[in-house]
Amino acid sequence: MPDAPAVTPALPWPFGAPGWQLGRDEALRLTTFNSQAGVALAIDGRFRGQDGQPRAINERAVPNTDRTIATQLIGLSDVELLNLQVRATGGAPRIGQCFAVLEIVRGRTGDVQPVATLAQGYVTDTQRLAWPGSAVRSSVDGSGVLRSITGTDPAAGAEWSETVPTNARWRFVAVRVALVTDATVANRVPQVIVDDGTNTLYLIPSHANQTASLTWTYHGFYAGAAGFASGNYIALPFPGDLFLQGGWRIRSSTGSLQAGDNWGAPQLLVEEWIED
Amino acid sequence: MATVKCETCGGVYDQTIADGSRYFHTCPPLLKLRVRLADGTIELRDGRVVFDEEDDPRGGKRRTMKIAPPLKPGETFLEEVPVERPDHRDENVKGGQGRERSERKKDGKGTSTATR
Repeated sequence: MPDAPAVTPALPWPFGAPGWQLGRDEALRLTTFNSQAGVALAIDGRFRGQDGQPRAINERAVPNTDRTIATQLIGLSDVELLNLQVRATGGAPRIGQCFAVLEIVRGRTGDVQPVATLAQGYVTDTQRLAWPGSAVRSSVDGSGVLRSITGTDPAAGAEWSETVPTNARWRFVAVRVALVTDATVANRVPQVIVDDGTNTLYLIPSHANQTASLTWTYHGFYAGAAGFASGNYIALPFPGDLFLQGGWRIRSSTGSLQAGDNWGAPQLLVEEWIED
Repeated sequence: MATVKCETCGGVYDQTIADGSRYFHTCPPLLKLRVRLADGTIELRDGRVVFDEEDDPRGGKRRTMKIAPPLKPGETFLEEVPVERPDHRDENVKGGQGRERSERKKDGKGTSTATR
């Protein structure tokens, strides 16, 4: 058996970590999904060029603000990639708002082929996405961002309805909404419904009838099996961990609703993630 | 932060909400009644579920659900179903791949400026 060739032992990471040799037709790609206004990202890092000298990478990216995909190619062909990080430099997104994927792709136009994912996860102004170092995480791992959402104030005689935005996932926490009834004698029975855009998934009716010329406030939250009332405060029980996908709705359906009855704008508390 | 009124449903909303995120308005659906007719066919019709409060012979009050206008003999009320209103507005973006997804699903009758 011939002697094994002499090999210099590798230095421990990160000092001796081998870089990623980018081929002539390869590039870096940053893909983002973001819900927060004003977010700007910095892509920083180092590469070793043909002359063996390390050089800095300083690129900028501006994600879309409607949770749609935005991609940016960074041409670094024929170099050795040493390290990378992505951080938010504007907009102060929180975990759950700006999801980024760093990868190596082959090709620049047309059918760009992803060949390696370096890191993926949420980026904030204080928490970086780094390679090497960061994991490849799902956008629905861990806690999302807590959002207090003021919905649409419907016209008199209309129900209220809120839809989970495209590319978002919600965990419902609470809703508060007021109903002002007109002078018509009738027993209004509000129901809060969760549906998938078509099919009802959950329906909870108020156990109390709201009659004429009253203002009652309905509070939906995780509250066990039975609703309760105290004066003009009505509690509606919801299941815990109620997750909703994009296009699903939380809405009212009010028995005996009169033309002059007026729902206010619902105020929702939800936990939200990006989910494409 | 612009406040607008949806010209389809009359709803009033802020296009950007307090946390800096965009708000995507959708018109609330209209409600129709799904009814099984005497011959077994299913029909969607206009109408509402109403509630009367009556004396309960065992004491107190009890809530009675009724349909308005009343059903004919042999008809059975199945459920109240949501139906998109004509020209409904849905500001959520369309699905699919790429930046073109920023396209709004349904414009409806548009919006006008408003105050809360």
